[in-house]
Amino acid sequence: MIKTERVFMPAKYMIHTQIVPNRFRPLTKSGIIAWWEGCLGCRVCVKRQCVYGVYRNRDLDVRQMIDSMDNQCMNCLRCVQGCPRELIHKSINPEYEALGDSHWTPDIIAQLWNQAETGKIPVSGAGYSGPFSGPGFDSMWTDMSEIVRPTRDGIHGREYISTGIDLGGTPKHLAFTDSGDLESEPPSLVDMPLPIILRVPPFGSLSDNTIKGWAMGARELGTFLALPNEIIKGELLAFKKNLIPIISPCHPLLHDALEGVRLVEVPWGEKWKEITQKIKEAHPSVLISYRTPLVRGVEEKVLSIVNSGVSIIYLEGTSSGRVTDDNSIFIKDGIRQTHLALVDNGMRDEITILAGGGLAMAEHAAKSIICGADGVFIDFPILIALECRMCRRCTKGLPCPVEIDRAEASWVASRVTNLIGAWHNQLLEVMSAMGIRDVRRLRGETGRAMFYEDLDRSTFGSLGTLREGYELE
Amino acid sequence: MNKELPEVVITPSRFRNPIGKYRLHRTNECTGCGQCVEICPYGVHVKIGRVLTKNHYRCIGPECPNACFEACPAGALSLKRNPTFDTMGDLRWTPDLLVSTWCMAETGDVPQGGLEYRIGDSNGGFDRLRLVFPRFHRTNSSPLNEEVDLGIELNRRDNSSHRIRIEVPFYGAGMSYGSVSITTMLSRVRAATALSTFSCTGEGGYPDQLKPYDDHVITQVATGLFGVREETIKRVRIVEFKYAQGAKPGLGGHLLGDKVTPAVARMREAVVGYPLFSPFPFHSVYSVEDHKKHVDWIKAINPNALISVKVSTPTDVDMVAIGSYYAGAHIIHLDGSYGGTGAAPDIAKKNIAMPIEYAIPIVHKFLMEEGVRDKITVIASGGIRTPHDVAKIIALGADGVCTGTAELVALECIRCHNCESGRGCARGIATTDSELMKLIDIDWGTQRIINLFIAWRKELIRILKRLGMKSIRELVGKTDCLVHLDYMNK
Amino acid sequence: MTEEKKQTLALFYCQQTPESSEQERQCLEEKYERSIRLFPIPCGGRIEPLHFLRALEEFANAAYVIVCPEGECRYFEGNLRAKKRVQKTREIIESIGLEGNRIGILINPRENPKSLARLVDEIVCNASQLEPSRVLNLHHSPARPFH
Repeated sequence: MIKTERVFMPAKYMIHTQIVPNRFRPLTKSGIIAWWEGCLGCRVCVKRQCVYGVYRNRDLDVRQMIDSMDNQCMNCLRCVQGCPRELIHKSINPEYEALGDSHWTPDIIAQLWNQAETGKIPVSGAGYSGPFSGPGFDSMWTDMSEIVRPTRDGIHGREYISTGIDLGGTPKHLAFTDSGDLESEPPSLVDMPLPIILRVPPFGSLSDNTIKGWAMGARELGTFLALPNEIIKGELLAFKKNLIPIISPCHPLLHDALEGVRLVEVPWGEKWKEITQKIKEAHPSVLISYRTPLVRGVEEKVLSIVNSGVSIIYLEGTSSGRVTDDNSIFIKDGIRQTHLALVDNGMRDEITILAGGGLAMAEHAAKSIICGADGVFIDFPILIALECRMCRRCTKGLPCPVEIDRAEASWVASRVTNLIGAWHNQLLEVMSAMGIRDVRRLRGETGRAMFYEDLDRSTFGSLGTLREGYELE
Repeated sequence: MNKELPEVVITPSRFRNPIGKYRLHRTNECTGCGQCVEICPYGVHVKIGRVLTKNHYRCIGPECPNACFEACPAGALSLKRNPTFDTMGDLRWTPDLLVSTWCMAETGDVPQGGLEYRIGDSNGGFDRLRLVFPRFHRTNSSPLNEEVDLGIELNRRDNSSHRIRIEVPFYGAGMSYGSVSITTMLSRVRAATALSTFSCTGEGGYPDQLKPYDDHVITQVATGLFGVREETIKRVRIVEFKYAQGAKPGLGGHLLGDKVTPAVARMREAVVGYPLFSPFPFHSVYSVEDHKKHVDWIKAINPNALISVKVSTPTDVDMVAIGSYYAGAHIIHLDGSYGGTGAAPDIAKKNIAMPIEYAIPIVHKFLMEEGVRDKITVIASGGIRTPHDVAKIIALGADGVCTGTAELVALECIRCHNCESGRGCARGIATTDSELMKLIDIDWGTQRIINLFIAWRKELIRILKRLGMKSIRELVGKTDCLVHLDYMNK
Repeated sequence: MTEEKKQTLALFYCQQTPESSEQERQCLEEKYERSIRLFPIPCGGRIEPLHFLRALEEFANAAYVIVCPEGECRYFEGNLRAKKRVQKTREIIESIGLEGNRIGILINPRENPKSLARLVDEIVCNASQLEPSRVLNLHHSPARPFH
């Protein structure tokens, strides 16, 4: 008789999202100019015909002087084109245009708000509306496969597309005794169900509730929140398993401060060996990630420390996605070079590369991994999820227009969960289009990516020239 | 087959206030003298009792040689850029391109001034390519529209299937019933019939209303197999397999629940109000051999039909093209990543697969090396907006082009990107909502697209004449007719 | 305890006002601390009596709109419409016993139009003459939670 054992499939990693309403009216792009002087009072007014009901139940948000019609307008221009006295015109809302900066653009910010509110992937009609290519990650396209070994049920079906990663290097080989027992040290790893780690941003109108909310989100998602060690106290202590304390050399490390912590971050600077020793003495099983600014030639530095027991490094770019010592080089190139240098030296799997700096969209996470990172940090997106406008008033002592410091921790947590849920789904979309079902396989897959500079030159570099007696059109 | 060109019929906007680039303001100083009405060549002002500015949109702007605002004796007129104009469109379909296309759809001709109608603002691909013309072209005494042949053969491989020649180097891409209205579909196919070309049904089934135009319809077999029956396959001369779509490659078609109206549900044999996903990819096709099985299936039902294979643009697009050829396809239709869609995740539209400008040269070159280039027709689509884009992509190696968004813009699409939500397009184009659909009259729609195609024809003929060519076939692969602004000075 | 209620001015300004970028706006916010609230609008003519009235009701001692010079409005006559609306709003508030000069319009002069900063300085100067609004004293506190 065949004995069968009931085996349960391991639970599929799913991020549960729900609508989490904004606390403030969002800034939207539309600015309707609707005069009423000269209005004929037509029986069938174009305003009443508005498909989106934009002129019905209009109200004014006094705090920000936002007219509800601007939030709801979908730019179909029917009212503009229908009014017999031509009283309605359009403008772009100046407050929307003023959001953020050239890297954190208004559209990117609005898209992050939307994902944090709904938990849904941004979907829209008509084709792509943006520039052909752009700097940094915008100059990369990902691949698709016409005929792949697909998940039969679609990406949300019963089969798995794994987004889990392990932090901590894997040894080159394992040694076993004659009786089959493991002789060498088992690899020390921390596993996460998705390759995105949260990080407290360098500015923001933050309160204890904000940080607690982020920690709650990190725990819910199964990831970590990286934050300065000095602020881990009180209610945050309960979240240690999901926190990455960032050790600063100028703040003394208390003896049992890292109890219950799985991963810490140490700046790779002068005192790194000292700090490492101190940590290892007190907490031998804690994994250490070494943070270093992403600079030109950082791969040399990385190669030099692989052999000294460092198993995780964090390459940190600027908040506009660039290398810290050269504004013309983007983190994608820094990541790629470091990854390739390690591959060339046969050391890639001994170290985990984490990357960060200006990641603003889900595609940046996917592309960072394609360029060679194992996982990524995101900081400003988790702040923008709380309706931050990147106005930087908090850095000038001015009050935060959306009072982030007054938000409840549970609201913060669910907004972040929504955002990461939407990013996770987008990561699945990109992977499934490529026919890749494990994010570890996505790492370094630049052969499947398409780079603008290369493609553009090879396609157009040898076209015709402008000869004497000819003109262009 | 109707070989005579249809006529242009001036077909203005269906809205009271067409949007143009400029607006004029008339103060109370106006004396009603009517000078502006007389000197304006474009009919911007009218005199019906009083003098009014009726057609702002026709104004060509400050460069006008007969400037009304200068000639006005009372100084009552002033010209400004229309602020609403600048809020429209996006970098690919700029406000200039939108208004230019509306102009072509109204008049059958390119704009007379004040508008950039040849390139958009995407700063790459088509928008950085330029055609190179000899400065003084040979004077050609023949009338503008004669003698230059724009037709292409769609079947270049065998005699057992239909020999089909279309009289313009483009046909309409698939836009499914459900994502667009029946009026939109009918306008497109009727215009295609008038221009002796084709229009594709898209994956939403083959509505009966299209029956009178069967000879000019391409039916699409997509992974959801919506509305695909033996009977629909038999009716047509060209069958298109949609393996993937440029805007969301690697993902299937998606019609959101609100757009699955009773009519759509009936056509697609689905349930009202539930979203419809076409899976990706074909679950019966995992290899080129499987694809041949598909082709054989069609040949069994409709032995003379031409087979078109619509694919996206992965890194190995050359392999996909050659595989399709060997499986028996007559047409390989490459849909680039910047193409249109009813709904797609933004991450897919932007990032997945390559733009058509790269894919076509790769495929053209590879098929040449394999020695089969002249046995298959290569059709390009994915962001082809103007006759200039058509000329450029043919010069890069395509035989012809599929039009999609351009036809919708002719119907006054404004690129608000809200096709997919709720009741669909508020302007009545991409919707099956019974009330919204009424916004478009079918004769109006048909004539707008006919006018557009005629304008495109004229422009293509003008381009070919300046290049000294007598047929569009001479342009295929002629990359020396192109420069790219970034690599011009080597 | 009740704090010194700082007198707040609501200032609406056309986005076309010279030197009125977000940067400059924040500089002015810093300079005047919490005593001014600046609101860029797409056109001066978008101002409606409702904006003024709600501002006066909720937090403002006085409310002004800055519009473009005559003939310079991108929508042709937004600035003229704004003028009429300001007049109308004055009539409304005067009818309920509030001083009409709590509402005002500043039309940037055609010759040498002024920057936002200069205009704001002028307005703040003029408004400092005003007594605290009786409307605001009717509320418990200007900082009610908004949800």
